[in-house]
Parts: sequence; structure tokens; C-alpha cells
Amino acid sequence: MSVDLYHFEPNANGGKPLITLNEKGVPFTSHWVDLLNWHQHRPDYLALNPKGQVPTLIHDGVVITESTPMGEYIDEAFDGPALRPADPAGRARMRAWSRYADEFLGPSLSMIGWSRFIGPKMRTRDPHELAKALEAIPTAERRKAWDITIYDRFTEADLAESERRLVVAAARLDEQLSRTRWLAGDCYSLADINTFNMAAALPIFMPAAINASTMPHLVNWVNAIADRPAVRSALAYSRNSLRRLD
Amino acid sequence: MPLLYYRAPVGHSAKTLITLAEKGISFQSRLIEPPALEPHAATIRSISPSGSLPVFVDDDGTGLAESSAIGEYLDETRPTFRLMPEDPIGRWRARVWFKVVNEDLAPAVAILAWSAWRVPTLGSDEREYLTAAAEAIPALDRRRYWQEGLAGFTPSRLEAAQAKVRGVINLVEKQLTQSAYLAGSRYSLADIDVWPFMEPLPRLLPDIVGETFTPHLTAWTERIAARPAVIAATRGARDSDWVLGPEPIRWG
Repeated sequence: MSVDLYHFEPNANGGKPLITLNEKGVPFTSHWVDLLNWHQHRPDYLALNPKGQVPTLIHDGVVITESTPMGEYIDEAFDGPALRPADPAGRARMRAWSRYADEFLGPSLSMIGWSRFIGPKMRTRDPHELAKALEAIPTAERRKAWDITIYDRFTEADLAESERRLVVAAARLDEQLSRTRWLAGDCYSLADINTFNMAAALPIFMPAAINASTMPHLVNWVNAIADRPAVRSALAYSRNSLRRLD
Repeated sequence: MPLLYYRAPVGHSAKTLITLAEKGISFQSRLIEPPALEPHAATIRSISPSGSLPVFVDDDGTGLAESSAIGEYLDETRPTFRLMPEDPIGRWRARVWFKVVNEDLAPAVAILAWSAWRVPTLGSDEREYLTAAAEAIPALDRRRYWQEGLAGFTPSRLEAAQAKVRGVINLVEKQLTQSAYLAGSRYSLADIDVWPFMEPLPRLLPDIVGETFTPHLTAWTERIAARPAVIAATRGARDSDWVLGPEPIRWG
């Protein structure tokens, strides 16, 4: 059996299978894809993942992309503790939460992350080389996102809207977690793994609005997940490449 | 008996109606006129906080939101005529299609259909009613999105929507040169998720969708349209039923 995982820092989408594989106890070979140097747009990577995204999983030669469906695939294809609720209604709740993380929380979080961390990092580089790298990005959509990030063309209104959504999402998570221990109910599941990868950043991005006294259930849940041995193993893959510049 | 809260039988609501019909599940239904949820707003929001429809309430009171998740739930609880592929890779493929629909295809088709078919036919009374109803949507993002749609989408928004749809058309056409159905050789929830958003395209984008441009997609669309369950589930659907769903993904 061979399992290869292509990933970047253990956060957002790339962090999902790092945690899931560790929770299941599946041995795998890690391949670092340097997003900050656009290795995701190199032809050999695009051959595996035409959208140029991380993560990509290769299981015995079969290429699996898209981190949320990938999580269910890992749970179904490998032995180890079940990461989905045993009942159909629980699994439906798990899928609805994962979708919320991907479509509502994730994009706003990503916009803030790119504007605060990736943009400043990029602006320390040689402008000439940046312009050349930008031209080489294969799709117009990705080129536009990188252009906005590198040259800080985010609008105030867009950033403010993203920050507003982060607080809305945090409140919704906190409300659910005031009633149930985990997002889909009493069972730790892929919903928690998928959402944790994004939600762990919420108290860091929005400390005044999202902290242990305003959103205690959310913060406790983040801490409980961060303490899991599998999550610590996943986080150990970090190379601190997104650490804030002082 | 289960209860379904739904919009007219196009888009996301069509997915659940088709799945219920394919499985021969009896249910009661409540058709909700967009964008309001009245008179069932409280029940719907307790299950679907964003107010998105359809919402399904099973016999035992279990309430579920999100049409793709409802589809898998119905398949798991009513296993006669399985609609999910039997192997993990096939199921992964089906779930990737769910994502393509929910994140890319559905919001884009809704923008194009709303702009082409609904906005031009809005009478002043209806416009006034929708404006007031949009004003009353509690979630700020949804409210703004409806206001944007009522004012008329900008050319760049329409172009972006067309580019998204084009991308998915290519994916579907390519997949159907390799397999009879989207997740493999068998009809599945992947087809049920994608079909309601492909069915209007020959009328919406006749310059890029049709027998000459997309032969596999066209044959597949017609094959599914001819299924008795699909005919029954979508009876009475009109192009002017299309309304705005969730907004397109903002970033990333």
C-alpha cells in the first residue's frame, strides 16, 4: 500500500488530510508544496491537480483531490477509528457543517489571511521576480487573486465584510458547541477536523471579538482539538512559513 | 409522513424532489415563495440557520438542510435503489460533483437564469414585493445579494458567472466521454445534483451548449430528462421560477 500526500502548512484545506490520516493511523509519505513559491502551478503538480490546489492524496496510484470529499474517502478506505457519526442524520449534520466551513467561513478567513500574512511576505521580495512569477500563473482567476494579494488591492469594504462574516461564523459555531460537545453531535467527526483547520485562526485574527470570554465554547473546542495527539502530529509538519512578520 | 419545505422544482429543490421520486418516497410538501420563508420561517431557520431550502423533516422529527446532504441521507435511510456508487472512489467522485455544483455551478446558473428570465419579466408590483421581502432577510450578506440581483448584476458579475458555467460544461462533457454517468457507469446522486443546472443551459447559453458543441452533455441531459421520476418531480417547472440561491464564493 502506498499513500502520498502533497500539502503545505497544516492549516485550512491542506491541514485536513494531515489530521485525518493521523487520526486513522495511516502511514504516508509527505510532499511539501511551496505555495509561496508557486510550486502548485508547476506542470508536474498540475498534472496531479489541475486546479493547482493543495492537498492531493495518491492512494495506490489513484489521485484524490478536494479536501472535504478526500476526508470521507480516507475514512472509508482505511481502517482505524471512525471519523463519521454512525447514524445517517449525524452524517448529514457533519456534511452540512463541512459545507458551511468551505463556503462561508473559509473564503472570508482566507481573504484576511492572504491580506495580512501572504501579501506582506510577498512584498519583501524582488518586484521584478514577483511580476514574472505572476505572469506565469496558469489561470486568470488565480492570477487575479495573487495580483490583489501582492499589490494589496483588497478594498476596505471587502475586508470589513470578511471580518464581519468571521464573527458571524464564530457565533454560530459557539452556539452549536454550547449545545453539543462536537459539531455534528456527541461524536468527534470530519466536521470538527474540517472546521478546526479554519476556526483555530479565529481568535488570532479577531481577538477582540472572538476570545475565551466572548465565545467560550468555541475556544474550548479549538483547544480540545489542538490537544489531540493526532492533531499535534499534524501541526508538527509546520515550517512556520506564514508566521507574521515583525 | 416526511415533510419537505421547498422552492419551485428547479435548482436545489429539484435535486431533492428527484431523489424522493426516484426512491418512491411518499412525503408532504410546502412550497415556499422566495425570498421569504413565511409562514414557516421559524421552523425552517431552526433547521437551516441561513434559511436555504430545501429543508427535509423525517418521520421521527429529524430535520435536515443542504440538498446534497439530504440526498446522501435519503440514500442511507432508504437503501432500495441505491443512488450512491458502491465503492469509495465512486463515492468520492460523486462528492466532488456535489462540491462543483454547490460552489461553482449553482450560484453561477442562478445569476444567469435570474438575469435572463426573471428580471426582464418583473412587474412593478412584484418588484416592490421582492424589494420589501429582500429588505427583511435577516442575514446581511443574503440581503445585500438579493438587493444586488434586484438592481441588476454588473457585467463583470455576469461574465464571471458565465466563465464558471463554461468551466463546468467542459468538465461534464469530458467526464461523459469517459463514462455513461458522472460518477461512473451507473446513474447516481452526482447526476441528480448536476442535472437541474445543466437542463436550462441549451436555452440560456445556446451558443455553447447543444448537440453540436456538447454532444455528450446534451445526450446525457435528455436521457435523464426522460426518466419517469425526473418528469414527475419537475412537472410544472418554468424558466421564470429561477431565483437567486447562495451567492458565489467570494475569495480563494
